[in-house]
Amino acid sequence: MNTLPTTAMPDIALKARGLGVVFGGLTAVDALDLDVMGHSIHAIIGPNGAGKTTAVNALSGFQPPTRGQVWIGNVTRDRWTSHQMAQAGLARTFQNIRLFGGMTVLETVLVGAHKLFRGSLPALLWRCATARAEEQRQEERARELIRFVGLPDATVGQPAQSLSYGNQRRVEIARALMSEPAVLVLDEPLAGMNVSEKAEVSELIRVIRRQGVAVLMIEHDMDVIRSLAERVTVMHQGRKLTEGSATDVLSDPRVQDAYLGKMQ
Amino acid sequence: MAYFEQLVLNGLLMGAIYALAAVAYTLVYGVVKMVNFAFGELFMLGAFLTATLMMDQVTLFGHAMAMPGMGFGTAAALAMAMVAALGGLIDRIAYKPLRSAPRLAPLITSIAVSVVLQSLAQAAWGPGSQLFPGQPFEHVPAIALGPDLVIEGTEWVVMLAAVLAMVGVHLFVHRTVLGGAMRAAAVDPMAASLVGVPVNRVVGAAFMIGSALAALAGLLYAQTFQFTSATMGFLPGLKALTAAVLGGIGSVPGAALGGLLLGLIESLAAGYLPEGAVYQDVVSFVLLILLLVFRPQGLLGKKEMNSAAPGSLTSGRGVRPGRTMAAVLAGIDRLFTAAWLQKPNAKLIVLAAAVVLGLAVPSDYWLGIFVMVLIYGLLATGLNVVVGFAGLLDLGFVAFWAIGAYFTSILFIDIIQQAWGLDPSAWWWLLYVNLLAGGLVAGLAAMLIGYPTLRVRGDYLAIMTLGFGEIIRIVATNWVGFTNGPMGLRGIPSPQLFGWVLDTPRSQYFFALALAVIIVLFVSRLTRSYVGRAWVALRENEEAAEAMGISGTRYKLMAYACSGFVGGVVGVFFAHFMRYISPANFTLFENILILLLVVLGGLGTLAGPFLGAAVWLLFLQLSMHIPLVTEFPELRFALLGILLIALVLYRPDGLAGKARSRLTMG
Repeated sequence: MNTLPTTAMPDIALKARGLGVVFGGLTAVDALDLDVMGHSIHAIIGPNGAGKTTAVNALSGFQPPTRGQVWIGNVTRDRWTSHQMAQAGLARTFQNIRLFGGMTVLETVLVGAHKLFRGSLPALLWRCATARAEEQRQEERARELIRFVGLPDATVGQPAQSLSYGNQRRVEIARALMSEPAVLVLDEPLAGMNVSEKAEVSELIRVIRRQGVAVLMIEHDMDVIRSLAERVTVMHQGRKLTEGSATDVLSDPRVQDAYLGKMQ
Repeated sequence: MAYFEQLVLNGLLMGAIYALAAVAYTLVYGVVKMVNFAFGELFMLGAFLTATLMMDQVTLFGHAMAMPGMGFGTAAALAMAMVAALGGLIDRIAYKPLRSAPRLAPLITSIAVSVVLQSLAQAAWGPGSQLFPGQPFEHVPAIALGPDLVIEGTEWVVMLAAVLAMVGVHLFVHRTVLGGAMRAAAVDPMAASLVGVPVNRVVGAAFMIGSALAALAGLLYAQTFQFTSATMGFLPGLKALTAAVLGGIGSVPGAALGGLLLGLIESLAAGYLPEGAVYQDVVSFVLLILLLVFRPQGLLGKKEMNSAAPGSLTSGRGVRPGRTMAAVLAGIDRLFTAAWLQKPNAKLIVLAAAVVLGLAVPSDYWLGIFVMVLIYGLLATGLNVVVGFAGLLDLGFVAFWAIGAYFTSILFIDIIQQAWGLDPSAWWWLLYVNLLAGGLVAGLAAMLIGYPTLRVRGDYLAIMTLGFGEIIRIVATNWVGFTNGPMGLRGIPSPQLFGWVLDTPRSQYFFALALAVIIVLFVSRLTRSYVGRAWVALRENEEAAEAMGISGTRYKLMAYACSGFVGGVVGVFFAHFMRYISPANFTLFENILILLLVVLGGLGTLAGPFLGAAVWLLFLQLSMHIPLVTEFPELRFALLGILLIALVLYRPDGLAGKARSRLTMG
């Protein structure tokens, strides 16, 4: 794959300090510090309602944090919007799939390349050679990525929303990768998939990481976490409970209590 | 001193009617979260039906008919019942099937319903204003509040009736089982239906009650001002909406308060501002726009009102068609997905056909019609950029058409001809400069107007753009020194090319065709690039689009600018083609018509706007041979409205929807 960046990433790809999100009186995320290292798969786990999705939304500019600061690489702003985050190198998928109605798979994935397009308005109107070449280059990348995430070639021209659930998740991953991200945020990428799909997408995530992208994911499947994640952050009631390698964290009695306590 | 009190009294009288209408609005909005654009027509029908029932004899559809000549009270009650039934029927046919459809769909059907009702009323009762039969409260004693201050009997009866109706609604909503069911359905229809509330029937009931109240407001209005007309509902309908938003839409006491305040504000503005009476409506529209931007929750409303429903018209499922309808739709699809149309040179074939048509058609009359097809097709193309591609329902688009037309006309007539005393036809080349400059000015205006609308979505966006469009039209009508007011500007020179005057329909057809080719090329190159993909992405899922690095602000403004640019260019050509323009060319009705043409042809397609324009204008011509239509030309608009409702229900993609163009350059 020559379409994904292979250059070395800065040590920390995504950093948060003192991140807090308050809804009315409810503190959904409290004083969260997070370091997602380049070239790594970092998982956030925690029982339902622990604040994982809120944290990820705050990290990706979806939910303006009440407190705290976020860095992408070494770039930071006081208030990020999600398109600024994307421009700075963060791409994400969604827990509830968000595709664009009416667009084909190819068109959907091409939207991911939005920030890479340089063609000016006059260039588009004249349809200069440079604008056409740019479009063609991105279209080729899109086709490659569609293959890379494991979608059959025949799906390229199909409406993205007509695909199976699992394949829609793959389209979202391809769309996110299209922006050549430094950080890829996956919100429950394996939800609703069968065993073989899970294995395939897990492998895909591993390959993405090998190509130099930092992956931050929310996941519930502990087997997947054990096999994929190099670092795991456990959240409980909006706070970071603990952090470490998958084996350390999953054997931590506090983590087990957090999950069991929820089950009572 | 009595001047002020008199203004307050007038304000309270209008306020009471606005309040009543606003309560009707809010009742429906609260339950279905949808702005019913047909509201003003229910208001109008209440007035017309009451007047008709009160007369001994009436002319309906050109036929004299005997009428019962009822008293005001009986007639009013009967009219309210009839309008309530109609409201229920409309909900059943045009809104209920679209409850889970994208927000744009019921908005468009409600606009279509409004067109149908207004056209039918014009056909039935005639287009002009009619005197209201009788003054039912003329013998009610007036109340003297002071030496110079008297409340007429009619006035206090209207206020009392409005107050009683509003108190009744309030008690109904809070004290009855059905009212409770309505409140439950308003908060969460899904949860309400889970606990056994028959949500659809409750919504239907809300529609019926709201319609009856609208009719009551309408008939009180008509008897106060002693007239009825088919278009009388439009302004009060908008005022009612303003009042409802002012009070906090969804809140009954809020609507009542908003109505009274709006009545007072308008009355005082008319009395104290310079030229206030002329700009009284502008005051309301400005208030509406400011509210939508800065305090959409109004005085007493809740903050989370008007949450956006994602998705566009085109991604909707529509209604499953019956067998005949399915066959018709399949036929249409075959037509537009025919093999030759899919070939890359299909566009050239269409263009060649258009050229042949222009050369071969002998009739100047028909060539003139074809020019209008191109003009409407171009306008629809401009509107399609914002509505079809970017998904922003813009009801103020005609303003940009007007800006282009006035830009070139003022330059040629006010400046070159009158101020400088020169012959405008010597300046023929200026037209070509103006096509670009007028487009740019209109595009800039579109961005300026678009900017404050960026924060609002869906139906609020539609209302806000409508408000802007109306403000521009009212200003153009009343700024006489600049635009010559309602009389318009005459003697705009025909287009010329190096001494060759393009004043025959044939030459103008080719001029318009050249313009159409350039503009379609312009639009297609944008839509088939990353810009077009960004627009569609924003339309389909704004949050996901933002997450892909697309700045909603930037690309929405760009869509407004492009749409305004196209509108402005067409406006410049239109002025030189018609050689006479006046504010009557640029009404909201035109905007609605253009919108319907885009939907008819296919939102978000390149051919759709022209297809819609061609179908409509050819139908306008051919239908003149249908006997009933010859007599009542308004019926054609009713037919268009009905067609549109059917289309949105069964085929939200429009006629050419299945032949949607790719978003890649290819």
